[in-house]
Amino acid sequence: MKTLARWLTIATLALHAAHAPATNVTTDVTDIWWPSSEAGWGIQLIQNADVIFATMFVYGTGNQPVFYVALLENPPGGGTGTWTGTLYVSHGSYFGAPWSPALAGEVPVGTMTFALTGIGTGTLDYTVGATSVSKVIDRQPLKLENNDGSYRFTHTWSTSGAGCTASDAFAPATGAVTGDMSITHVDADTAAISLQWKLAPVEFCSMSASYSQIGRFGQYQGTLNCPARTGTLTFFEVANRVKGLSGRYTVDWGYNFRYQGRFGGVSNSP
Amino acid sequence: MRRFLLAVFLCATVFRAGASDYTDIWFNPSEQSTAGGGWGVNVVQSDAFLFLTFFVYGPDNKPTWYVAGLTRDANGNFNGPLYATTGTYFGAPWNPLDQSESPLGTMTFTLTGVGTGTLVYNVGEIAVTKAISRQPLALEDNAGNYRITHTWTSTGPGCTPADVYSAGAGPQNGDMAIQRINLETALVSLTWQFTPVDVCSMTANYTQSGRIGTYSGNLACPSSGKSGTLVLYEVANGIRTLTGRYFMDWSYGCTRNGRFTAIMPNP
Repeated sequence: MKTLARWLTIATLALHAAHAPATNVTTDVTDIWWPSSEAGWGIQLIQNADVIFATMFVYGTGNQPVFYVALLENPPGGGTGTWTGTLYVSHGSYFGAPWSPALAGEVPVGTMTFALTGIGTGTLDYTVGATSVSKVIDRQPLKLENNDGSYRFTHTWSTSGAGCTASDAFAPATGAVTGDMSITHVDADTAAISLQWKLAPVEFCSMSASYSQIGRFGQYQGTLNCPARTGTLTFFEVANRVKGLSGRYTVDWGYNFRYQGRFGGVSNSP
Repeated sequence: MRRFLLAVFLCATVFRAGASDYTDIWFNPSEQSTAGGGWGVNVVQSDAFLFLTFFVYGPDNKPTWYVAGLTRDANGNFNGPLYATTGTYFGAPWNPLDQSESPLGTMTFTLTGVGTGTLVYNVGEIAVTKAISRQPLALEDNAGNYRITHTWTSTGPGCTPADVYSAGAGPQNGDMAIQRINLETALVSLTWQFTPVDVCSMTANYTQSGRIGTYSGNLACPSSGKSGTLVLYEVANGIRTLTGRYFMDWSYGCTRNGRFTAIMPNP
């Protein structure tokens, strides 16, 4: 196991390649997390490829603030949603004085494991010496993202269910399909939205959706009304980019048929 | 902090997302040590709001932390109060009565580049200014085939009508392939089909700045005879998707500033 210092030095001076494109296979855990019933401490997770830099902001025996850091790694193969690493406490120059490397150092104090149990929930287990702690933590929403706008998007999907027809299946030879989407908040406080989506070339659909903010992610859910069918559509892991959106979706059609897809959209306004 | 966080949580307001996503771990590369013990600041952005946890060391050289909630001003900089907090020992059951927060000063975060910024803060009478940059942890592997959607603006005397973004037509699609040709230095080859008939390619250098990547190289388009330099930047790796911005400088005196999303063809 690399020490944190060595890791950061390596990262700074000579980035080494990730084991796998992990953010391609796991939900991005980057966010601020804490138990909703214990607002006052937390852990900030920054994910980069298959590693997470965790900074845990807690309090010592004197109720004074202290932080611990860990570099959590996904097991070989990636994609498990569980990251583990050594937990360190560090010391260094007073922030009001010039930086002196001679004053800096770190000491391993235990281990930390973070497991993603849902898009917005996880478990945090760590030890500091003989003290073991286990917490259920959540992503913390800070602000409602405003995704209002018109987007051209591309999406891919897989299908399941006995009601699936040949025309519903994703065609690898054709590749990702393009559509247009507009999002308009009709109630800013509850973040309800109206949405139009052209699924496959000739199908125009719309829904009035509820919106929820799960940390940095948004989620839209509602009944999708299309000329010849209806279903339940959920956009989840919706990330607001720079004039762009990305995320995943499911559509449960009423005739025993389900879409599971991913999408990326760019605002029509450059 | 509790009151502050609850206020944020309960009174979330809606603003249009701005330019760059600041979410990352930021540090000063020259103020680290091979023995560990560096300081830094974690930033999580939600719309026009930044939540910062600032991990530093006190006069006794022991670790401590502060928290700040910064909002964007008219100049695009982020400003807000800095707080110190107390709370229950992590090894004991949480007790809200142990919780307190004290405003210490203010903090300003200014982005000076895609991966660089300036942090200005004061804790009482102590004023500190630091240059900071995004901390890269690992190279993202963006290799794969993508279908892209992009928009752009164009400027320059050499721009032709075909270079001008058409609001009526909307964003354009294309296909992009990224292939690592050198894992250690993260060089990539890239092929991008701009608008229906122009197939281009470049061998690009790749750099990682925190969570975002940059590809830059000379773009050659044999089918049209065009060439130029292309920079894909703020490239963020999502779940089988990429998002980012680009700058293209065509040799005939026309530049494009654009944004794109890309999605892998496999569901």
